Amino acid sequence: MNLEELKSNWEKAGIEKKSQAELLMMTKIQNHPKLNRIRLKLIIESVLLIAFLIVYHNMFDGGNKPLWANITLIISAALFIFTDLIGYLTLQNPIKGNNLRESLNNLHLKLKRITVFSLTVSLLFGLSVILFFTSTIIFTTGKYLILAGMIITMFVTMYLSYKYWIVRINQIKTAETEFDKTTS
Amino acid sequence: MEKDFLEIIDEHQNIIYKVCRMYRDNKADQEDLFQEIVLQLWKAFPNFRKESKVSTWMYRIALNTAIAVFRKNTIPLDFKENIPEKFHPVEKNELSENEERMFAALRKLNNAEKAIISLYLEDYSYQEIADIIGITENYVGVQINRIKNKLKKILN
Repeated sequence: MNLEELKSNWEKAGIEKKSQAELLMMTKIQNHPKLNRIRLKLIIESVLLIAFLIVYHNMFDGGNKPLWANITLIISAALFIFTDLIGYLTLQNPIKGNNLRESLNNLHLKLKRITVFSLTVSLLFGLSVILFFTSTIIFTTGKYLILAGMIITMFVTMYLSYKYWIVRINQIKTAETEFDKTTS
Repeated sequence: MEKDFLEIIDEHQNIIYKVCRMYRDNKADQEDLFQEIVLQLWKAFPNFRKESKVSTWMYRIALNTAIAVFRKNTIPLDFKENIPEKFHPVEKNELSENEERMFAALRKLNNAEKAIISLYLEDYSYQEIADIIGITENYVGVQINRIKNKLKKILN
């Protein structure tokens, strides 16, 4: 196949057509498997956190804990939900810019900011939960072990969050590098 | 608005099809990307002022989506440097052998090369390509020659 044939094949390509009903379905986010999964994760996390905030005061003796421990817990949980929401909106709207390169640069910057924000908020939330539960506790060996478990869980969660974002950042970085190489 | 949108996409859906075939190497990923592009076009439609051609607007969004949307790494289907003269598609469809060979060759280019050559094959001017990609017009000419040579090697 030479380049002329390639051009001719390009012009002819695209015989498979979707109906307008199929196209209409594609405009709905609820029919979108990837975004739906992310949205479901956001909803589940938010519902669980809100439920926790509603019941924690009675179930975990919030009234007996210092006020600062209660406030830190509420603020960090709210920030956690907010970060999830920002992440979802960014993934849902990846295009922002007048041209391809600008859009990729903007997305790269946004993803980097979200990663830093997400890790900071995860750390803050993890610490605030630990501080809340340990603020009026008398430590025993068993309780130290539980504390160690909570700290390990916090770092594992942070690592998973980092991995989630870094693969996305690397993909955009690779594309940016390809554009830079191709255009310099 | 919905009706206008559907008519436009229906009329130009071969643009989405070509971008999907070029940027994804299996049917399932191509279908996912198609859906993703339609969704992004739908979201961008209220801001489409019709100052540019519909096809230019669609290419801009489609290429952007194909590159920016996250995809899990899959094992490439073809490790060969050159495309065999007789390429038999594994998936059952009525596409021509030549079309399959063309997309297999185009998939060997990097993201930037794919974007530039698709716009060239669609007969966009160097200035239009430069505007869509975000590079200078001079680079477009140089790059098109380089990509053409690369494609010749892949195809022969």
